[in-house]
Amino acid sequence: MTPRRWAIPVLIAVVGIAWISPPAEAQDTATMYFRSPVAAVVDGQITPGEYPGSFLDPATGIEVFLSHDGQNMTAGLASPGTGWVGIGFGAPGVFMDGANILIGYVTGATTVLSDEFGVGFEHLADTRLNGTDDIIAKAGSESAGRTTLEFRFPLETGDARDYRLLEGQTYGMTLGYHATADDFVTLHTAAASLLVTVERDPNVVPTRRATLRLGSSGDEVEGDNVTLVATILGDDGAPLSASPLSFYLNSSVGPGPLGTVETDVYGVAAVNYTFRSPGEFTFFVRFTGDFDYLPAQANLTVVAQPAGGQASFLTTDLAVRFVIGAVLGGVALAYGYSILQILQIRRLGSRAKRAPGRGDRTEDGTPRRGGMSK
Amino acid sequence: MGKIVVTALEKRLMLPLVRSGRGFWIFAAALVAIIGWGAYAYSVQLREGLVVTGMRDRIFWGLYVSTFVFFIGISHAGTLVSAILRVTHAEWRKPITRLAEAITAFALVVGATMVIIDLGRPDRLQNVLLYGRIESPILWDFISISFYLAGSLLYLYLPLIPDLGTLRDKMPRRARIRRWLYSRLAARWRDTPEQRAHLGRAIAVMAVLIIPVAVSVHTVVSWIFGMTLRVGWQSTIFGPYFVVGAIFSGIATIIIVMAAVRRLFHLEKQILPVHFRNLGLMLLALDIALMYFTLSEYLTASYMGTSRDAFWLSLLASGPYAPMFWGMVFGGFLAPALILSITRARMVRWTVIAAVLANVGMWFERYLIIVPSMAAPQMPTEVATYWPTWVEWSILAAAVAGFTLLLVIFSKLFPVVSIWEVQEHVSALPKTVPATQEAIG
Repeated sequence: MTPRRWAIPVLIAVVGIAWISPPAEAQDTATMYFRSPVAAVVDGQITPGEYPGSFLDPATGIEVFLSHDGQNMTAGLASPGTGWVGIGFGAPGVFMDGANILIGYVTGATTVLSDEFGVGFEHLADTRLNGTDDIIAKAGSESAGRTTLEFRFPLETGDARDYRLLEGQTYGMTLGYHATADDFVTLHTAAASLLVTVERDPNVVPTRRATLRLGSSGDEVEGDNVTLVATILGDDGAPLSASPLSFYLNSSVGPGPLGTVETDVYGVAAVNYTFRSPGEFTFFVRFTGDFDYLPAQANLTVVAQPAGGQASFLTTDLAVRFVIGAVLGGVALAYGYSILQILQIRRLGSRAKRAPGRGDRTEDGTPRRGGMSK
Repeated sequence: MGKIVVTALEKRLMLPLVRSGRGFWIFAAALVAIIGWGAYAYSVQLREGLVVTGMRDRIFWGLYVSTFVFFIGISHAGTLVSAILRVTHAEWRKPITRLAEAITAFALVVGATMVIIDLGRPDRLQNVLLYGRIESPILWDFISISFYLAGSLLYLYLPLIPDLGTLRDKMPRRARIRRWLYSRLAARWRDTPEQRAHLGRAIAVMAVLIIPVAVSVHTVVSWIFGMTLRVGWQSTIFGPYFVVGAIFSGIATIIIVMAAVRRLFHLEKQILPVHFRNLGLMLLALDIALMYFTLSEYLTASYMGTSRDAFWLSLLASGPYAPMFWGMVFGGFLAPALILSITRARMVRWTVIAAVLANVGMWFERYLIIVPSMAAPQMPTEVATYWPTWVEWSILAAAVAGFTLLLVIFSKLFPVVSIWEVQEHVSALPKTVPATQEAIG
């Protein structure tokens, strides 16, 4: 085979191997199903049909069983290891920080389960943070290299170290386990950040319409903070308190979440936003509804003005400015020198044209003119 | 009126400017069609936003920025082959400097365009100037690329002046527009000793200056990544690593373009096998240096074995990017080194094959520096995914076609081999054979 013949297969092979398949997509929202009365029994064994459904997390291999009756959740975790396994409930997109974490393990005949609170990437028992241990029931088992943990826990405990879960809402869910370590300190073998939706009681259908308004306060200037203030009122004009409102910024790649905040007694919730650039910004706030009220949404468009003041270069340290100026100025000077040489060449060319001399003549001594014929 | 003397060399090098076959027009039309399709894809992106690309919040730089880094890399062709060899008085360079300088300028134009395409709101480009912060490597990049583009155009133009004078005087009379163009660009060149002295000074200054400017460009491009606290990016060797890679891909591009021009314009007597051999050896030396840097980069990360580094490396070595990573190592680095190490393989054909492999490998390398590092989670969460959409592939194809079209247009307007420098080179050789001249007029 000549070199050229096998150059093409080599090239095709290199390009082909590289693009056999794109990386797989991953998506992940679990459901905490509504069941009343609760069928699941907290006994450390999960039997078929005990829970209304399950969710297998592809990243960790943990299977999650979740149901609630409007008051308490009953949960089952089946991990592919014999070490600790944990689940956390918190704000969407936030990993561990501020989440209510339930983590435990099975050692011999003992099931250990702790009600903890996420602090950054750490977690501490609620009781160490002036909170309470609110676990209602727990049980676990180990078999064939897998751990099964079941527990019952209130959807709303009243403890500031727990995350309140409301029907119809979506929350962040963290899963993690360790293959062998029965403790609360060894870093996970695998962990994942997902979403969980708490299923609404299907028998309760909301019919009322809330009024949702969105406004802003603060300077709408690049680099400054603005406070987005949302107010929600019931159809009777009374404020809806303790209602979660989610704020978003519309962007070219879809809505960007700014945070979810519960309304105060005046039905008001607020978040801060810093304008990173000048221009038009469209915000919206969303109320997902509750037992009485239908979902609602309000929009707000503001135009952030460019920041005034000096360019950052002029406020930079003098020595730095000098170095930058010297380097760039030196290069520009050298370019200028070359351009000056071109102008000199032009000038000399004009002079030579007026008085034809060296270097610009044809064979018989006449000035070089005319063209090439083929 | 006296006769115009056109030497055989001038005729050979000027002929491609006036003679275009059907193949040329078909090729040019195909390039224009690809660019047109890319323009349509870009109009879709402009209308719908970056959501039509595969980029999202986690992986916000993809095909466009990889291609930008790649083209900025190959723009180093002119610097090394032209400036360094000119400064070191390597005479063999003379027939190939023009091509190298043209590649530099056009690669910069296409590379800079890719950055604008990467902006969801290109109208905000002005904000770089209006509100740019001198602390940001993005602004450093903008400044150094602007200076390099200006310098490269100047450096391309200066050695063209004597040839423009020749073209002005010796192009056929019927080519009026071209003669007008050459007349405007030739800076009233009369080939006087004074003019030559000024030209020599300007070229000498630019040859020396363009080297640090070029090095600064790719160093600053590397700092956009190297100064970011992200796995796979934060590195002290990124500056030299990028510069070596850039010169490597630049030389590979010269070899490919040189081979195409040599064949299409029948310049076998001007672009000789020795040029391919010499450039092949330079490619080999840079390939070895690049492999050394690559080993140093990945070995350090794997040896330290922090969980984030280990995870990032696993994405490259055995994860979704493994085919591309090993394709780069074996196909883009080792295979060219192997080919060029064999003395008997240092012929034109094999050198071109090595150059093509090197360039494909270097594009992979740019992609692998950018995308897997963004895919690796900054926090314990899932791996982000990215796959370019048809819009991105179309714009990539248009970028390559645009670069090729610029070279094609250049080769139809200006001699791709510097007539006056080659003539000087030939005059300096011992005269064993009388010079052939053709008197036409």
